[in-house]
Amino acid sequence: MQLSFVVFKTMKKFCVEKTLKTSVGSTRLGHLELPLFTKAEEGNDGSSNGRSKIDYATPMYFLHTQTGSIPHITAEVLKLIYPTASDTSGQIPPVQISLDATAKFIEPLSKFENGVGKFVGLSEHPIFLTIHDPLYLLRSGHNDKFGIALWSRHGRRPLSPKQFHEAVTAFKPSISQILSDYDVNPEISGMKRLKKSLERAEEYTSYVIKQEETTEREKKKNTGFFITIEASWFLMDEGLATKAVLRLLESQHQIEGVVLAGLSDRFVKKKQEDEVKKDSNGKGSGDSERMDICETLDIELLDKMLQNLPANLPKYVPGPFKLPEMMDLVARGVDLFDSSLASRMADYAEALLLDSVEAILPSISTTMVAMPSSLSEGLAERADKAERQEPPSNSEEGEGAVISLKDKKYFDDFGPLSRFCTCYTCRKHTRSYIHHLYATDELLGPVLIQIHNLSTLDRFFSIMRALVKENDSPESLLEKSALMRNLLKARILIKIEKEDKVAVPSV
Amino acid sequence: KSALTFKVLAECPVTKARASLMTLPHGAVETPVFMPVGTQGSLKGLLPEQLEKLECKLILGNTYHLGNRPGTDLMKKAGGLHNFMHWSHDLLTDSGGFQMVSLLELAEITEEGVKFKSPYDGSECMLTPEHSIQIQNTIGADIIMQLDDVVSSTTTGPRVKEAMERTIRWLDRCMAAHQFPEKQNLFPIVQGGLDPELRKECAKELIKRDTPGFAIGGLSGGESKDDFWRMVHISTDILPKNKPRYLMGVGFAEDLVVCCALGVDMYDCVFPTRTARFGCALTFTGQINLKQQKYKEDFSPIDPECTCSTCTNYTRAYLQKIVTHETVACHLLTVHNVRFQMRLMERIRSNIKTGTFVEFVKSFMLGIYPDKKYPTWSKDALEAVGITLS
Ligand SMILES: [Zn+2]
Ligand SMILES: [Zn+2]
Repeated sequence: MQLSFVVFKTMKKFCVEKTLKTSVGSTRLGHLELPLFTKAEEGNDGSSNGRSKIDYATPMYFLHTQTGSIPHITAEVLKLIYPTASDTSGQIPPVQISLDATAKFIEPLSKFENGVGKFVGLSEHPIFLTIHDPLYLLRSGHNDKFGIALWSRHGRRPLSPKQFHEAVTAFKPSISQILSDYDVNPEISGMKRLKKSLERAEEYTSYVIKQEETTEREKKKNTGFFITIEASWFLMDEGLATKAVLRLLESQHQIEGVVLAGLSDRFVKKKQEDEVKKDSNGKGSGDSERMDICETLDIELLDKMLQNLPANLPKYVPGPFKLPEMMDLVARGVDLFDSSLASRMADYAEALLLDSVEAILPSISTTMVAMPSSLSEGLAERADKAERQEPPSNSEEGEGAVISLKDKKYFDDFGPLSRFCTCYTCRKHTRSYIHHLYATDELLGPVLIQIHNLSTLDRFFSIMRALVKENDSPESLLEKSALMRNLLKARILIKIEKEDKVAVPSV
Repeated sequence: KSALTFKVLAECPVTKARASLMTLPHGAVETPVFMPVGTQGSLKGLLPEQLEKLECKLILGNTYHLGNRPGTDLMKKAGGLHNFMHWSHDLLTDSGGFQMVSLLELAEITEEGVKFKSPYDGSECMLTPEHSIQIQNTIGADIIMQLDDVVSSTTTGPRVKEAMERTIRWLDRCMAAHQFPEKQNLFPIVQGGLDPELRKECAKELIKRDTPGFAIGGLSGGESKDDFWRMVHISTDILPKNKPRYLMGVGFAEDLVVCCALGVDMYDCVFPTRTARFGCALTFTGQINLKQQKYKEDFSPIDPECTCSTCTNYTRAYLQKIVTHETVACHLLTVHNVRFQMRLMERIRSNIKTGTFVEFVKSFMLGIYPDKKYPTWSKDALEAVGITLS
């Protein structure tokens, strides 16, 4: 695929197409070109480095995976969500794979030679290798001069810069996040610990870049690196943090992007940790180590982190943020996200609905008009059916942007998840059926919800891009996200009442 | 008029095997056929479209589960199970009796029906033959089953005879209660435990009624394989050639091949989908457990000859990393295992049609027993229909 819009002729794979800059931030559209690893071409002696390239419009999201698979979605079903590029937003998203749960792939992958994408059945998607699963909570401790700790279902596993380099060599991702000493917590850590973390960031980054330069000459690999910037650095000492970031950026010609880590609260709380221990005697404990959907976003902190970053680097904020928060991030110039929100919602039987926010996001209708014929037929067919027999959904009144299909009110609701959605699930299945699948713990429930939520997330991002294209200012985007947030509020209140969860920082 | 036509396309000149075309209200199905079990209105996480791609056109739903959840009221509102689960091909439902007797400790059988305590509110309920048919009429499957008096296949004594005779009485009540014979096919069930005389008597009594097909029940429940095959053999000898024969609860590859030779046309079993959850993949040379360390660096697909989406996209090495942990692994193995069952049945059908069934059986058996140490029961069973394994 060719770049449709090239502003700067650079070696970088990212270029900014358009920036809307005001006092609250600069919203932007860009293009990220990601190489796709294919082994067949690798032998082409120098001229080709074994990679074709795919061009992505940003802001965009990566498909979130666990142990290399999109939760509940096989390669076969993924093709039903993104049948062809032209049926969706015009792009089939790249895939994010985290090293914490896949470190055990390093050994087989070093013999496999076809890269991690092919290994996990997703060879048509460029791979972004990150360090942590955005849904998995981290524990404090075990980050030392030898490296960092990776936490997963299997417990702890150390990762040294050398092992990280081996992982990149074996995984052959399109881009990779460089490991970072994340274990700085303003509640516990002292200045000495912060300085250690900053020093290690530099050490790790320069080690990885140096290793990669040597290997690159030999093997003609082509992985782009994202540096990691920890939110906690800025919480503890903005001055020191800024200086460290500037030093990290000195090797900029080798750096292709930035991961803004730690904006979602990601440490296991002491209280929870005790619970986990208790659980492990009896029942399974897995879920308490998973992150909940992020209810808040520290915008001031984000602004501090963004301050000194050059415009020509794409910025990725990992984590299960809700749509209004993602919109706020877009308004401030964040380019890259992941679909961990969808993965988490599938666990809760929650479906994302853009129906109620249609008025706020006017380009939904534009998107609908531009829909390919194959999909609009599906919609027409359904509208037809609805007229013929389906009684109006008894529960659509007053629905927010999220509904839980575990709710008994959907027991006999034969409408689709969303009246405006043309995804596979909405074309073929009813709320009543999905409610039944969750009530009986059938594996198909989360599959159908994931299909719909990923399709909706896809539409949301194409709307975001359309808004910026139509010159929607950062202020206007923030206004829209505030309206959306209000629509969601009712639900959040219910949730807080139910769970009565107070986060107590531990000492 | 029945809602089923059964046309024998080819018969094996040696054994009792036959390949046929069974036409049901929701489409034609080639037999011998294996039906995967979609207990609660979905098949272990697979989309209807995926089942179609696997060439699977007839699946089974469980009346007991569906009657509880979502229940008959909703099933009626949804316009039947086909609509509810968006499945446009054929469905079969069981009577609910077997599930009840095996799942509920307190189930008690009387002449009236199966008495049980509701697992939800503890109230006393009764599943009568009429009630079973009424629920199955609401679910709307293409083939429905009579309520039978199920006794454990290892039970002996007068209880077996009582159950066999009651099953016949219940059949008559089911037939009388059946509201839609023009769109749903009611199958009776041959009972009689492991007693050849009772089996014969039951089959002979059942065939006096004009039902569209017949099932052989009460087997595959812990009896010896030697008893098992003899009961199947006796039953298929009596059941009419122009109607389908359904052997309930059987699904191991070897059993399927042997029972096809004995003249059975339809099978169902939870095994291929259940075993997927534990990381087991089925192949023509036996099953493999992908949890095993030896697959860690095995970059071949489960079966290089299999064209399922799992074998096309995934290696054993990756499956080894995710089986029993990620639901995706369960989906991937379910797809492969269902496809395996379909491929096995395709091979059986095509070999019957080309007159090479006997050779097929021999090479199939050699595939799973390369040392030729065949189990006595399958040797005996095949011998009885003219195939000698040597
Ligand atoms: Zn949808
Ligand atoms: Zn396969």
